[in-house]
Amino acid sequence: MLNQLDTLLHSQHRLAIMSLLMSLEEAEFVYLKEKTGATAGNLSLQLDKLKDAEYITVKKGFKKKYPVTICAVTQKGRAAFNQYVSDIKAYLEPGADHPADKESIAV
Amino acid sequence: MNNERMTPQKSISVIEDAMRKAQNETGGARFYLILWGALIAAYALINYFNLKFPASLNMVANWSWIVFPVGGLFSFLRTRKDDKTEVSKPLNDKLYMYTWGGTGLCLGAVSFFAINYGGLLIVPPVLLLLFGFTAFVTGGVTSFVPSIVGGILCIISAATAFVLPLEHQLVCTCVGVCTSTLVPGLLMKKQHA
Repeated sequence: MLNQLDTLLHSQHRLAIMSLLMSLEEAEFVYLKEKTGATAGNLSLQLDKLKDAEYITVKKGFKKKYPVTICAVTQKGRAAFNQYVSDIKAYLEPGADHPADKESIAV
Repeated sequence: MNNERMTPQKSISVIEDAMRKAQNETGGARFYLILWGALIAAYALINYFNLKFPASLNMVANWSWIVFPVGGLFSFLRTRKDDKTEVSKPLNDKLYMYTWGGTGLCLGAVSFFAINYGGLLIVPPVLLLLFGFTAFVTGGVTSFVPSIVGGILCIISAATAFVLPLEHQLVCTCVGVCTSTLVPGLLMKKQHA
């Protein structure tokens, strides 16, 4: 039986954000904006949603006297992402068994 | 990219594309590998030629130790620059920092005790063993084959160096350090140019 896809991750921008953060220890707002192609306002909105769900942490600091926002994925976010990938694979190959496999996602 | 609903195929495509972009962020490892590989290889070669031709290179060899503080200074400046300019931190950064940093600390300890308590002949083979081990491990974890191969070659150089006199140990040091750090660093740079 196919699982319901995580609606929080089943969105292009949020999925791109999570995919980038899964491959990095942390990333700044400007990096995520550049790689996802999102506008600053839209990206802020998506990050807030992911942060509220505790999938990512968002830290604010300063670099060269300019404010900087740094994001990193949480353990809960990693687990959710792995589950999402497993569920997506099940949609693509309904007959095969796809347990949530962390190693297939690890960088 | 807009925020529309996606098909499963589109989801996979988004994930793959994003991960590919993130994996291209390799961090500064290649700079340090090239820097320290070149400096230590040069140090070994200068001292080898000094042993071979003491009259010609004595003055240069007496000052060859300066490569280490110079390397330290360049490393420090590069780290500061990276901290100010980088906008993402690759997962492998900590791996490289702790493995090669640990290698440096061990080498410092071995060199200190060898100089103060005798046993200088042990330094080149131990250096090669540490470099080889570290290159092998980091290459394996990051799936970077040149580091794995270079690490193995460096360990072979270490085994050889144990049975050689000092001047030939220096040649082994040059070869081993080049295979474990300089060559992988240059290949990393070329790969992500």
